[in-house]
This record gives sequence, C-alpha cells and structure tokens, in this order.
Amino acid sequence: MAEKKTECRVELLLGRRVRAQDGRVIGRIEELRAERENSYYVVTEFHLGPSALIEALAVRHLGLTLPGRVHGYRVRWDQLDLNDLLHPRLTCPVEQLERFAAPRRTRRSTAA
Amino acid sequence: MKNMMNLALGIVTSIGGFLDVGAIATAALAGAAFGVQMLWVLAVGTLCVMFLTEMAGRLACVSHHSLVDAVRERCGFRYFSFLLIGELLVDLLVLAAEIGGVAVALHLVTGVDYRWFVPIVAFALWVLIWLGTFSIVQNGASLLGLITLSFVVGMWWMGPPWHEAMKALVPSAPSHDTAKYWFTAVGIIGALFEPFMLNFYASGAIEEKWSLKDITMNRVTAVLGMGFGAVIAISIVMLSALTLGPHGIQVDSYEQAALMMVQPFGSWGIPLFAASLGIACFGASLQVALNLSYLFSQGFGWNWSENLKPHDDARFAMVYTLAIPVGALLVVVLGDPLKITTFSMALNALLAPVIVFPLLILMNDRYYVREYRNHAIGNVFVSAIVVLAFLIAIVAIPLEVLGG
Amino acid sequence: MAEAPPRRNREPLPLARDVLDKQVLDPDGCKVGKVDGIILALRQRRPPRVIAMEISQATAWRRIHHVFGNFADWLRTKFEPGQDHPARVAFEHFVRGGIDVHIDIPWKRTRALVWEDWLQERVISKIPGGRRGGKKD
Repeated sequence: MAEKKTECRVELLLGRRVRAQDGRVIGRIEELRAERENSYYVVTEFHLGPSALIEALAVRHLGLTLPGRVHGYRVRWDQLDLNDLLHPRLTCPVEQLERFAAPRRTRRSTAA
Repeated sequence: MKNMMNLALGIVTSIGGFLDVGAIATAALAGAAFGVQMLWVLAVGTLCVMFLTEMAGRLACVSHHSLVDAVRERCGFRYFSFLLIGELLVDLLVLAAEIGGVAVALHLVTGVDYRWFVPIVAFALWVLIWLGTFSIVQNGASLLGLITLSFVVGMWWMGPPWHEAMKALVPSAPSHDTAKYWFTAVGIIGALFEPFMLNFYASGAIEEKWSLKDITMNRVTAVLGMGFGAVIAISIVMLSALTLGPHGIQVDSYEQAALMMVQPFGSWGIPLFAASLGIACFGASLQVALNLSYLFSQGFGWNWSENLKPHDDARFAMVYTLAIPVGALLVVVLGDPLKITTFSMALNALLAPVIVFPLLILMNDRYYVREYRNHAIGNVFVSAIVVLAFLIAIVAIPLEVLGG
Repeated sequence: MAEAPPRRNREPLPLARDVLDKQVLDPDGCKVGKVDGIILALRQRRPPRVIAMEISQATAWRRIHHVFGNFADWLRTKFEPGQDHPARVAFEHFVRGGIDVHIDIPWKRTRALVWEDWLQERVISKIPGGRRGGKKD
C-alpha cells in the first residue's frame, strides 16, 4: 500500500542520522517518546545518540551503571525537521538541545 | 511427592536435551582419537550450558516469554532476522543429522540400508508431534532415553582410568593432530551450545506453565539435568578411549562407534548402542522440529503450543510439517549422517554467539526478569561465555576445513 | 478566547522500547502478531500523531532492505487471500505496552490472521486430526 506523503514509519526512522544546521551529524534516532493527548498519542520527543541506545537496551554492564556523563540528546518534536525522512535535520542550534546522561544506579535485589 | 516427581522428570528431560547425535558422535570421536584428553572441553562446555539453560528457564518463568520471543522484542527485527535465517539453516541440518542417527540405529539392528528407514522415521516423527501433547513428546522420549545409561554401565564395567580422567579436566594442548584436536573441541562445544536447545527449554517452561514458584526447580533442573547428561557424555568419551583408541579404531562411521559397546556387553553391545543412539536421536529430532515451529511462531507472533490441536495453531503446525520432510531429504541427498553431524556441530558453534549475546541484555532487563536479574558475577560469567562463543565461532569453519 | 492547551497524560510511552516488535494480544489474550511497524501522521506545526500499528511480513522485512520488503509485498498481493493492504490496528485501540502490547478489539477485527484462517480451512482441516480445535488430550 502506498504511504501518504504526510505519513512516516517509526521503524524506518530509527537509526537515521540527524544532522545539525551546519550539516554535522550529532547522533542517530534511537527512541521516540509519545504522550497521550486527549484520545490519541503524539510524539513529543526524539532521543539521539549512544546513551539513548543504552537506555533502549537497558544494559547494566557487569552490575554497574555507566558513570554519569553526557551521552545523547533529547530533541523535542518541533526541533526536528522530518520533511526529508531519509535525512532529518535539527531546526535549532545544538546548544538548545537537552543533553542527558546514563540513569543513576539504584539498589535492587538480584538473583543468580 | 508431586514436586519430587516433577523435579525428577525435569532432570530426565534435560538429559534428553543434552545428549543427542552431536554429543554422542563428538564424544565418541574425541575418545577414540585423543583418549580422555578432551574431558576438560566437556567440563567447560557443561558449566557454560548449565548457566545458559538456567537463565533461559528463568527468563521464561518470570516473563512468560521464550528466548526467541524476547530476542525479537528486545533486539529488534534486524537482529532477529539474522537469528532466524541462521537457526533455520542450522536446525534443518541438525534435524537431518538426528533423523539420520535414528535411521542408522535401525540399520545397525536390521542390516537394511539406513536410507530406507529415513521416510519411516520422518513420518513417525511427524505423527507424534501432530497428535501428541508436549508432555508425551518430551517425557516419553526422555524416559526411554534412560537407556543411554548403558554407556555409564559400560564404562564402569571396563574400569575407568579415574586418575587420568581427573588430570584431563585441566586444559591441555594436543600431542598430535592439532587441527583435528581443536576441530573436535569445537564440535563438542557446538554439540553442547546448540541454539535450539536453549529456546526449546524456555518454550517448554512456558508450555508447562512454569512461573515464579518454579524458579528454584528451574535452577536444579538445569544444573542436575545438564550434569547428568554430561556424565553420560563423559562415559562415552571414556568408553571410547578404553575400547576403540587402543585398537586404533578411528570413528569414521556410526558402525565403528558402536564397537565401543562390544567389549563390555558382548553380543548385546551393538543393539544397546543402536537403542541408545536411536532413542536419543529421536528425542532430539522431536525437539529440533518443534523448535523450528517455535522459532517462526514466536518470532512472528503467531499462536503456538504443542498442547493445542493443529487446527488452532495452523502456521505453527505447518512449519514442522514442512521442516520434517526437508530434513529427511537432506539426509538422503547429503548422505553420511556422521559427516552431516560433525558439520552441523561446527555451524552450531558459529551461531552460538547470536543467541547467547542477547541473554546478557535480557537477564539484566527489569521488564523481563524484574528483580530476578543477574548478579554482577553472573554477568561476568555470561560475558565470558559470549567472548568464548565468538572466539569459537571465528575458528569453527577454518578448523572444519583443516581438521574435519 | 484562547484555546485551552490539549490535555496530556505525562507518562511518556517509548515507542521503540514498549511498542515496536512486541507481541500484540487481544482482550482474550489471543496472539494477533508482532508490531512490525508504527505509522505516524506528520502534521503542520503540531507534533506527529501515532495513528496505527502494522502487522505485516512486508513491513518487517522492509526494515532489513526495501528489496525484501517489496518481495514480501508482492507475495502478499499475489497470495494473501482477500487483502489489498497490510493489516493495521488503529492506535486508538492501544491499551498499554511493555513486554506485550494489549489492544481492546478482538483478533477477528484486526484482519491480521488471514493466513492462519486460510491454512486452517484449506490445508490443516484436510489432514486427519486437523479438523477440530481445542486442547490435545
């Protein structure tokens, strides 16, 4: 079935490189977060970069979390231009993006 | 009492998962060519498999998802497609090897060419899966598989060299035929690290409706079941070393492997070997054929269960209905079941990292295993297994060429 | 009078982690398929809206390479009985995600099981023991 021009696919967006306004690659789309708006869901932010991948994989290496350093970016929906789905670009300077680190280690019981 | 029965049954069925044509063939080869020298490979492989099996079972108990299910869901379709294609090819070859093993066992007792038995074995396999429940398929074959204890009896009868065996648990380099030694080592690991076995174990846990209360039983079953299976495999190595090696008999065919039972059992030797080989292979072929159905059904989200009539899981039933004749055809076309076995074990080793690596992720994912995640030590061990699996995968095919 | 901002439930739903590739279950726990794709509607000056989940081999294989997807699509249009497009479940029927995705419509309404029905009717029921459903004895 041919897709409408105003539609896009999440599974084909994942892994796409995102470029800044100056053409520099700043990361890959690793996650899309949606929130409920009235009776439907809307995408509110995209997560870019290696930290987003770690968040998606939820890997805790050898029982320890990675040290809290910057890994990726949270990009709001209005900060990403998806007119060209193969080459998404930022609509704002990189400095305006929210950075995030790996999650903090928490106490939990384990087995094995 | 019921729990003890379930536990005993679980251990017995785990033996069935451990001991199949690959384990029998590689153990016999190793014993004949290198004496007891390769016992350390079996020991290392068994330890790894105990850990992996326990984890696969724990995943199923807590999340009620099988390994393949969880790999698709957690690692995505791209990773799953790699696993799907690899495991499809390898499992079809393994299925061919197992069907061939049963056919050879029948040839050993009747003298009729094994190829005549291939369609009969394939049909019997299909009927049992089509009509049987998971319990019948799993437990029936496994209980009959206790006949493989005859290898243990045979080894005792011959007077095992315990001192040499203990020394052989320490890794050592070969004194001759280096390429063949390491190829056989890879084959042994491949026979233990069979990708189908881990997912079949997890799928079986779901079929049997294991839950959180079965976590301890899962641990005991995985350790004791694999342990007992290893005892039988070690017995085969030692028996082969005691009876074949000293006479310079290299295991180039199953007929030669069967000779290991003649010294301890006399005229009963060949029939006992044939019964052990045939029943172990039949049980394993049931598992491989079912696992192919599990692989597709779980990966694509179809309805699945061996306890449902085929009408209610049509696609699940179609997969094994198509796979079994393909496996049978491969035996007839490729010929020499022993060569198919050793080649498929090398491919198992090649594919092992693809299924072992996701376990490292899954067993630390709170969505799947909640508070039953791995300890740091468990993660170190699994990471080591992943590295070992990758190293073995890299050398598997070159060694197949050089030493196979 | 200014328009009130839309009400948003602030608990975010990670689409890749909690929806994509997950097992779809209907209210009776019947397995419908895996979420092979998620469709977004791009809107002018508004956040993209999640409109549907797609359950389709072609959608899944297209993620490897468009050639595989096109081939699977060709097979679907040629052989899939009575369907001119892949099975989609409108996202309005999404209840919750996580390990599984739960929807609030029965599997029959999703049209995702046409191959299962076809095999049941044309192949399985023709084999002895394949005519009736239920649990094996």
